Amino acid sequence: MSKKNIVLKSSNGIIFEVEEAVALQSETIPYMIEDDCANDTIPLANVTGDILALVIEYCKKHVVVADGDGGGSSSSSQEDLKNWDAQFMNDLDQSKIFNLLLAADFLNIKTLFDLTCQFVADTMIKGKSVEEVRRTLNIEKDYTSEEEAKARQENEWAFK
Amino acid sequence: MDRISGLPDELLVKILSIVGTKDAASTSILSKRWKFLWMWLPELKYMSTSTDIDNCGLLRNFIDKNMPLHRASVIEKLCFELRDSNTEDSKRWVEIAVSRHVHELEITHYSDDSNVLPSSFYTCKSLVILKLSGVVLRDAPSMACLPSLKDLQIDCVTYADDATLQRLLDICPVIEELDVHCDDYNLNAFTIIVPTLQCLSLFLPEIYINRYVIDTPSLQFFYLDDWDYVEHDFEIKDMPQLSEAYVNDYFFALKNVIKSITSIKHLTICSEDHVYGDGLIFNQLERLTICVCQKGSSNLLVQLLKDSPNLRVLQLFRREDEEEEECSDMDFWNEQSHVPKCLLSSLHVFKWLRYFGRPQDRDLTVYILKNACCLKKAVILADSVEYDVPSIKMIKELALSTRASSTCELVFNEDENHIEG
Repeated sequence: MSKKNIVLKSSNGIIFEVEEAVALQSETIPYMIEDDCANDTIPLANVTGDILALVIEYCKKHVVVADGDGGGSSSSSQEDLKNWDAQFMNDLDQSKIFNLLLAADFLNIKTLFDLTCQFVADTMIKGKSVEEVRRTLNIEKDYTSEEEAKARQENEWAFK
Repeated sequence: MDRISGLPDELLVKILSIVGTKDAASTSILSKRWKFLWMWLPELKYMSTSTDIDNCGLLRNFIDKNMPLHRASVIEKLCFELRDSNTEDSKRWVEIAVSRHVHELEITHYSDDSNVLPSSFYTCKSLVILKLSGVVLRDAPSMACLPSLKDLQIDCVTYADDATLQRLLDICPVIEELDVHCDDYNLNAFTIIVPTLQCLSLFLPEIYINRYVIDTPSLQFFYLDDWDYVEHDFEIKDMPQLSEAYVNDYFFALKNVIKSITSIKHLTICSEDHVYGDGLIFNQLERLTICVCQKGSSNLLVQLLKDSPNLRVLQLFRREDEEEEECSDMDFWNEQSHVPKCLLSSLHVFKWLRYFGRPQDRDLTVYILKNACCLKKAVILADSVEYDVPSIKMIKELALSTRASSTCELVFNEDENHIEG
């Protein structure tokens, strides 16, 4: 089977050449190929080079397993993949995580999108108090203390 | 603005839908940007985190205040769990969910008169999954219809009368799955007559039921757990499409069940009954799993082997949840004059998942090994909890016994995870 390569160009002009199977984990890219906006290079106006590099790293990792040996060793490689995913997310700072989320959404890579959403939900919001979430996410409180107290009182269950 | 608040609403709602309704609702006071985001959640799950009345009261107030203001045009799922609260509230919430095209409703509501379903519920076109627990089930009004309902689960429900369950089933023209945990002591009888049903799980504890009828001709999966020890009458109509069944019964079910499930492919059985009558053949039965916790288990096994000419996999086990006093020693194996056909021509795999090493266990195993001509694999897992079978003794007894199949691999004490399939 001959391997076809696809050339992706980030918003800041960085070129990545990847195998077709890697790129096709994005459900957006096939439309861009069809639309013929790219006989040679597909421009991705919403994704910067550093984020595209992360997306490609993720897709490369996942494509290898997807066309492995027919799933015979799937249970252990699924486990490895999960660990790899966790490490991949852990190594990123918040800014990269949110840009990755936007890129996964734009490129429509469902597993990466779900992974990123789950990571944000689990590590930044779930089980945390309002103050902790504000601190973690750097959210500036723009309610007055009276407004906040009133909202807490009206919806007490949510804050217990 | 901080990084996360700059993300589009849809992405934030997606993230909030993962954290759970309570944590999502608490983000409403992070900043003004977040005030209404959680109100777009497609699924609302209100679980009271504790049983104390105060917490239930807070939850009730919260739902009551916020349900009418919820912004999502479709509420895919509404789930709430409450004790001792006003049923008029629950009715109002269900009504709102119905008006927002709810797909899945899960209601757990314990109180004396928990008729939590408003009349609009009975004509809900969008409802696909319904789970009811604790509620009082009234009769469906005339003209009622749940045209999309596929999956119904009922647990600890009080029925208005013996016909209430059937009346509910009658308004579900496409229902495929039904799970009934029947523990209403006032119930004398019930029927489950559903032409479209594919999966049925029925659990009957000791509730002194008099009679039930099951007529489900499209059924593919059947789980019957009938432990009502007072003799009762029941009728189970033919299930020609059935491929998998689990039958756990105290005394009375087996004969009636078994004649209706002769098309079965996979059967798991634990029964105090040890005979079911003659003249039945299970031509398609490939996998038989039989619990050996009863005195008559060996007789039942003899009969099932005789009547299953194409059996490929035979598995013996003992139910994990079995209490000691409910178990009796399995009778000795009566060696048959004729070796069953399946042993001669089709049985490939024999597994014993909790082998106790008693003489009757050993005799049975030796018999299978001696007569199963096509056996490829025999797996014996010694029980180490109760009987602590010495493996050397077991291996000596079994490995040295005659084997009809020269290619049979004998495996002892293998880790349970490796012998599935």
